[in-house]
Amino acid sequence: MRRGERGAAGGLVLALFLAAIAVAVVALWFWRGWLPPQASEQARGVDRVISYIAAAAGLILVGGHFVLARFVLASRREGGPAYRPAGRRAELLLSVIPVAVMVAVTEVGTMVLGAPVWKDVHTRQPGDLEVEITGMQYEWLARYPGGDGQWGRRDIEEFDGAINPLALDPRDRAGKDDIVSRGVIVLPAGRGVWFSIRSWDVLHGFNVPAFRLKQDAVPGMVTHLRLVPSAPTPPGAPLEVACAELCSSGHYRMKAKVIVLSPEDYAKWLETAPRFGD
Amino acid sequence: MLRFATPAVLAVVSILCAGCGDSKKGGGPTGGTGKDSEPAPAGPAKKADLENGAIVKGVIRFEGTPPQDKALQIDGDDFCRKQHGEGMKSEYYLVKDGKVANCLVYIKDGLQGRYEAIAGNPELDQKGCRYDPHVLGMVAGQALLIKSSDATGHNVHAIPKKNDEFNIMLTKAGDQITHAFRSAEIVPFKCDIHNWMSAWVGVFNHPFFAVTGEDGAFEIRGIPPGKYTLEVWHEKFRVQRVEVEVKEKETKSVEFPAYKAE
Repeated sequence: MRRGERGAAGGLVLALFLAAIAVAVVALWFWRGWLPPQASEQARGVDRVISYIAAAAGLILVGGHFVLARFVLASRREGGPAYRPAGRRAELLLSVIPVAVMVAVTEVGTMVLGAPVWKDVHTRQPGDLEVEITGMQYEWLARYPGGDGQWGRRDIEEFDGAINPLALDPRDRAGKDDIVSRGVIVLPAGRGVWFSIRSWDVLHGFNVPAFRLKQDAVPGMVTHLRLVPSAPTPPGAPLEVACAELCSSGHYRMKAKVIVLSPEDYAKWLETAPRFGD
Repeated sequence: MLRFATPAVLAVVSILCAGCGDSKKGGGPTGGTGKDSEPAPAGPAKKADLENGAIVKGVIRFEGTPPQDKALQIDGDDFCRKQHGEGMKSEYYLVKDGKVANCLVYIKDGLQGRYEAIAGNPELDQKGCRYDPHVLGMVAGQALLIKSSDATGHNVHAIPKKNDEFNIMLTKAGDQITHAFRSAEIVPFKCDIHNWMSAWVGVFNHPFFAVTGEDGAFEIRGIPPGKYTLEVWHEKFRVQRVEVEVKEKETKSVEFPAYKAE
């Protein structure tokens, strides 16, 4: 193959490569099938940030390769490219401009799109339902304060893995109507839920992909997350909670179900759910 | 370069293996790793004389209304829920007609030296998301076969105080391990995946123990003549002791004070 033909073939491969990247970026932008359905009002905002980051990173990748290709093609000559030191001005421009573009595109763009979502999921609103989530090897437990709105006290001496996994104190009247739900988190659609997330033992990650929200459960502290479930889940098709922090050998089994009910059905469930003091 | 790499690799391997337990998947009996604070009595183990030894028997009773077992929440696990269409209850207070099951009765004091096991190696199954049996006894050094009959993952987590702790996944039906405890103690077992699952394994230096069944009855055979302290243990009730003296070939009924509602 002569030199000119080799150059044409190389240019064709490069063009195909860049075209493939461009197609992938555009496809990811328009095709959302790779994401789970949006099950919370906050999910749309999170998806917007995900799409923006994917598109921005993709465009920077394609643009960077075009620049690289431009220099590769322009420097073809017999005996390899000649060494040509950059001038001070070129050095400065080629350092500052990419940094400025990267900061503008990634940091500023993400902050503009993401900050309102961040504020939304970390600010408790009046009328929110508070649900306590506890991660322990290898399950998730949800607690509701019951009709009195008061959380029952804990006493570690009362821990019983079978019947009192949250170590609620049976002597505390406030805890008698607390509802403890093991492996199943029931939520009302259309109402804000303020999660107070704890861990009994090691670091866990409370992650409901369909809600697009994820928060570490950290032993010794309480973390929070707010969301509004958007619609009831179809019967027999709950959402999945999957632990998002490797927490030991049973990590892969650490799952739970999220069932979103209409406000009426949720009120019924709340009435009939067994109380700690039953 | 290789000169430095080899010790480094060995060091990493030794660190990784430092956490290895003494259990083997599907292997034969194993011994402890020597963390025991109370080693077994010295000398060779003696054989219990089932023909001439004494028999001690009795019934463990409960007076009044016993505490009630509570319904377990198993809805989060589809496999376990399907095994128990009508739900599951805890199995702490198995009291029927005033007779208490799952009590471990054993000679606490008075024996000299160690004794060999009478029965074969014990088995602890995981069936229907429960340990079966809930309470069992064995002699230190026997190989405890721990298996799973469930088509779901279980996590065998033994939490002894004198022996080595171990925590092993049995991922499917038919998986099994064996483990030998070296020191005498009552070892709690749990499953970290299904936190309601629990079992108790009494490890003794002799075979003079029994677990009460639904009728609350126990019978311990082959006891050498002598004076002994007999103890009854239940996971939720207090430990009780009685003194007993037996002669050769004697059958003696022993009465522990009945448990009462607290």
